[in-house]
Order: sequence, then C-alpha cells, then structure tokens
Amino acid sequence: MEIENQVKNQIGIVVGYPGASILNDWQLKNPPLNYASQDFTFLAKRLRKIVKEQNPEQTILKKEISGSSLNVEKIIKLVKERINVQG
Amino acid sequence: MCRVKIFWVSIFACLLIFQSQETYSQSSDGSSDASVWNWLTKESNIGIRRSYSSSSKDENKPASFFYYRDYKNDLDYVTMDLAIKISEFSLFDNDLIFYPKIEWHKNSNAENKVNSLAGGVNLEYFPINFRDQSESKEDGWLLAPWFQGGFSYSNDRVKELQTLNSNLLISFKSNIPFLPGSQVRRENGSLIFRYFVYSGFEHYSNAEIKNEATTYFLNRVFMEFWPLKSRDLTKQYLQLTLEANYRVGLNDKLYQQGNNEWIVSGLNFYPLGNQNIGFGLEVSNGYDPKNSFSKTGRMTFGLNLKI
Repeated sequence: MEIENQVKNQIGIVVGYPGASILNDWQLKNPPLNYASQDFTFLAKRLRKIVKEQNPEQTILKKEISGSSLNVEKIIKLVKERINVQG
Repeated sequence: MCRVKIFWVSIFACLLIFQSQETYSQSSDGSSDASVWNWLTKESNIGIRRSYSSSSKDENKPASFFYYRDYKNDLDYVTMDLAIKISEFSLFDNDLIFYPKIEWHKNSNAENKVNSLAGGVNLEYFPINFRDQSESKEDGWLLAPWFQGGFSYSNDRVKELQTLNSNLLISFKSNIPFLPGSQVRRENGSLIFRYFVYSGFEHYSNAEIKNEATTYFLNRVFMEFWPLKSRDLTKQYLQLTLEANYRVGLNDKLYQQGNNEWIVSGLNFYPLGNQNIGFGLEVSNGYDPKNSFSKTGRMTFGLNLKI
C-alpha cells in the first residue's frame, strides 16, 4: 500500500493533481491527468528515485511508462516488480 | 489517385483505433492481450503524431488527415501531417533520450502544394528535476529547464529542395498553476488551460549548395484551452489551441524571409472523450516551417489520430 501511495503521489505531483484522488484505471495521457510527452520523462525520473532507493540495481525508463495502453495500476505494478515487492 | 490512397489509409487507421480500443476494453482486468494496439503501443515502440519536429507542442497534436472542399471555386484537396517515431534510446542515467523519426507532410492543393519527406533523430535532455512546493530545495527547481533538439534530412519535393536541419531549444516545466508546463484545473480536477514555451536556435542548410543556409532564433508558445466541464472526469470533448512562433533571421541566405511569424489556431472535438481520435478545424497563417517557410494562409477540417 505504501508503494501504491508513493507512486500515485508522484504521478499527481507532475501534473498538479492530488495523488489520493487518482484512480487505478486512469490512463496518464488522457483526462484528467493529461500527461504531455515531457511529463512522462519527469515522472520516470521520480519513479526511478523510488526504485533505486530500494533496489539500486534496477531502473525505470520513460518508454516503459508512456505506452498508450498503460494505466496507473500497471505503473504501480511495474514499480513493485522493479523493487521486488509482492502484492 | 493519391487522394484515394490517403482516404483508404485514413479509413484503415480509424478501424485500427476502434478495433484496438475495443480489444483493450475487453482485457482491462490487467491480463496481457495480443491486440495490434498493444503491440504497437507497448513501451512506446511506435508513436504517431502531427510532427516530431523537436517540439513537444507538435507531439501533443495528433497526426491529421484533412479534406478540404472549396465549393465557390469547385476545388478540393487533401492535407496530411504524419510523423512516426520508432522506439527510444537513452544515455546519461536515462536523462538524455534519442529517437529516430520519419515524417510526411502533404497538401494536394495546386496553389499551395506541399510534399515533404524527412528523416532524422530527435533528442531530449532533462538535466534537472522539477520539484513540488511541498518538497525540499535539494529535490530540484520549481521551474526546471529541459532541452530538445534534433538533426534531420528533409526533401521538399515541390520546391526540389533538400536541406539538412538542426535545432536546439530550451523549455521549462513546473506544476505551479500558470507557470510553463503546469495545468490550471477546475474544482473537480479537470484541465482548463496549460501552455508550453520554447526558445532556441534552428539551422537549415541546402544539402546541395555550400554556404546557402538560414539560422533562426526561435520563440514559440503553445496553449491549450478546454472550455467545457465534463461530468465524467476521464472524458474531455472540446479543445481550443493556439500556437505562435516568431523567428528572428540571424543568417538568411537560404529562405530569405527575414524575421517571420507562424500562427496556428485550432478547434478539436474528441467524440470518445480522449485524444486518440478527433475532428479538427485549423487556421494557419504566416511562414510555414514544414513548407520551406513559404507564406501560407489556410483553413482545414479533418481527422486527427494519435497513438
């Protein structure tokens, strides 16, 4: 749950949206988050920091989080996979 | 004949979008599916936009297929702006990103013909983190600079002009409302307004004639306005856009247009509430950078696609 909240907070900070109000099925590029191309890169830098704090060997790239079919839930799952957290 | 080809390409692209979205919605339980859509979009393996001309304002615009009918003069023509990005590479702890691109811009109007093909590499560099006001100064800057640029070879088949192009622009990102790159929102959280600024240098040189080149100092602003509040937060249907460019000619032996402007305003309607597919009306005026800076004034209506 801790990671999920952290990821949602970071997703929200990039576009000025409260992390606690972000739903799992939202796609970042679509309303209400409306991510622009460069926003994905700034988010990747933030998520990379979370991942590296717990698993320095791993990273996250912009292209891994900017696919059109990705939603918030899938990004949370990706971060958990990278830091090897179950659930 | 060419018009017929573009028509069928448009129809195919529409079918792809609708089919893919349907497939995606059927597999929204998180399980992996093997749809064409997922193959194309997984890890951004491919992107389709209006242009990847080292400008995020164009990346935020869908590719377009416009049909124009002039009833008064009994004329009709099509315009197409299609750019394909293929995968991405990164360096320097992933802060420097490269990607190859191919672009095709076409206008079949006899008096305003455009037919240019371009290929090259774009780059984006994000050396500094931006930070939220709640974060400490060590986390980054409130208004963070980032850079974009590119190298490309362009073939203007109408003017029979081949050019080598390069550019480097600075932009800024913040999440404080009304600063560049931030989003101004309604009480319910939906986006009302945002804008992006770019400033930097562009260099165009004739690939065949030595020393025939133009260098511009470019200043650009791109704004989006979403006037309607939707009940469903995940849908927004109507978008107004304005892009204004002002170029100062520093060395102008190639195009010889001096200081010039390029202004594009648009009205887009998205029937699905997202930006994958839409219908757009666009009015452009000034010196068109995708058409060798020819003086241009046009109004177009058509289909927008974005993957």
